[in-house]
Parts: sequence; structure tokens; C-alpha cells
Amino acid sequence: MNLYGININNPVEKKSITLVDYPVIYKFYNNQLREVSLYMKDNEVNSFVFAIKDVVTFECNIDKSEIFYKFYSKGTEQLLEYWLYHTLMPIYLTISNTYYFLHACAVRVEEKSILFMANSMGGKSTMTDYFMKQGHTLISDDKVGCLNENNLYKIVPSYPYHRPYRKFEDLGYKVDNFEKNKTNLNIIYILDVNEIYNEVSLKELSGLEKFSHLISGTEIGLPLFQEERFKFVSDLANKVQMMLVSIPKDLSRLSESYEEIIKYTKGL
Amino acid sequence: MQDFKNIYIKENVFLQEVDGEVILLDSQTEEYFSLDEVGAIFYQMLKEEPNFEKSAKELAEHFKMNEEIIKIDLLKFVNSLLDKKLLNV
Repeated sequence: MNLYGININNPVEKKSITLVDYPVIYKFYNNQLREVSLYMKDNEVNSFVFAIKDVVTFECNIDKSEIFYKFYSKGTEQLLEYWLYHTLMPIYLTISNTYYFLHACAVRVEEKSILFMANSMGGKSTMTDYFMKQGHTLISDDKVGCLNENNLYKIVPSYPYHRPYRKFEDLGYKVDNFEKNKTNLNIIYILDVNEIYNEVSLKELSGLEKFSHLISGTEIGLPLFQEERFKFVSDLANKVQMMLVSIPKDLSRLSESYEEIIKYTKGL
Repeated sequence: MQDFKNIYIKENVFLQEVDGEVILLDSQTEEYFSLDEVGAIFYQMLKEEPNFEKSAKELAEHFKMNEEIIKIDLLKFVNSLLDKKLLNV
């Protein structure tokens, strides 16, 4: 199985996972209405436990590239897959300092990779769905892993599912037209839904505006590698073009936004 | 307005440049702040030596400005950074 550009075997089931020595460092209720907790050892980033209350607990050892899990009363294979693909792997790859994750969707436009970012309910999934229906290859539906390789910013394909609707703990439907390889990140489009009668327009962003969108779109905000991650975001903002796309709030005019984005991307 | 003697940059506050704009970020609170040229130089001076009076004097000399006027601007600037908890005094 290839997730976020990494080949992994299925995690191994364990009879018990002990939380002794793992003080909680990060605990939150996420929007899936589950209580989710991340436990780490003091001053050690090589192993951690990620627990979804009543469903499943994962124990990860980064040094040994091992992932174990233990089911609880509400655990199912489907939920295991969901939490592994959607949440655990981005946390694992953030803690291992492999990628910087942005809350974004990404597709291919000919030989270019483009990212869509937006506020919550800002139209990322709708736009991605429209692009996919026009035959564009999906790179990521929700979380985009970014890395710097030889001074070029690249993104990795996440997992081949697309969810153009809102439903808790659901990966969506399987996608055949899915990118297999790591690709250069060519441009980031920030979607800004506007009044129904507005024209579609594109505006280039710079400086603090770019930085601000990237920081607010950071997916896994763990208190690790802080200075390094700040440098990463700043450098990404310096190297990758970002455009604000003003989109009329009218689904019947989605094709206009699509055409403008395609035209601009092809001209890069 | 509060007067300051020593001003310390917090340990988890970092500075980076994006498209020529200098940005301060507190990596714990994720508060950030854009600095102009004077602010960026002042910040670097404080990082080397947290002495408000000395930094103000050097800045006034650097920009050939009246020291008292620059001090008033710097106090406003320091207060805005304190509001965002990017400094310690």
C-alpha cells in the first residue's frame, strides 16, 4: 500500500498498548466527533501513541518504521483504514519531519501540479470534483504533503479516494485516475467565494498574505521542529506562486472559474 | 505609554523574510507580525543586545533622525509586539 508516497505494510494488531511513559502532549476533539489524543514520550519524537477513543489506538515507532494498532468496542476495519489514511499517516510523517502538510486539495493540469486552499466550506472539494470530472488526475483530496527537494517544492500523492460530500469517518469513493508519483508544486490557488454576480478574477498574492494563508492552512500543527517549520513555510511562500481566485457563489458558473484557472496554469 | 529599559525577544519567536517583507512569528501561539525596515533593524539590534535606549540611539544615528521622535515610534512598536506577546520586558 502506498500512502503519501511511502510504501507501508498493513499495521500489525497488538493485544495491548500501554500508555505508561507517554504523557499527553496534544489532546483534542476533532470534527469527527471523536475524542482524539496524541501521546508522546518526553523529549523523544521517535515513538508516539495516537488514540481514537472507543475505536482504535495506534502505537508508532518511527525509528523502526513500525505501526501497531489495537481495536476497542467501536473499532472496525473500515474505521481503521479511515483513521490510518486520513489522520495517522499525516501525523506520523509530520512527527518524522518527512513532510509539511497543508489542508488542501491537489490535481494535475497537464504537466503541472496545482493546489487549492480555502477556508472551511470554501469550495476546495467542489472545485477538485469539477476538475476530476474534466479528467484531471487527483493528487490529494484533503491533506497535501509538501517537501523541499534540491530547492524545489514537491508534493506527494495522498491516497486514492475523493469525498465531494460531508460525512464523518468516510474516505469517499475510490479514484482510478490518481497520481502515482511525487511532482513539482507549480502554483497554489486560494479560493475565495464571492457574491453570485461577481466576475471570476485572479490576483497574485505576496509577502504576509501568502504566509498568512499557508500558516492558516497548516494541517498538523504540532509543537515540534518549530523554527525549521517556520523557515519551511517562509521559503515555500518565497518560491511558489500563489493566486487568490475570486469565485462567484453559483455552482452553475463553476466552469468559468475552471476555465480561468486552466488558462492561467497553462500559461505558467 | 510604558517606558522600557531592557526588551527581550522570546525564545520561540523567529524572523523570516517573504517577498521582501520581514515576518515575526511566535511558533507557540502562531501569532505573527509584519515588520517594516526600521522594525526589522530594531528587532535585530534587540536580539544582539536587549537595550532599548542604546538601540533607539543607534537607529536615530542610522536613519539620521531625531532620537526623541524615533523613541516615540519605537515605544508604539514595542507595545504592539507586547500585545501580541512577541517580546518580554
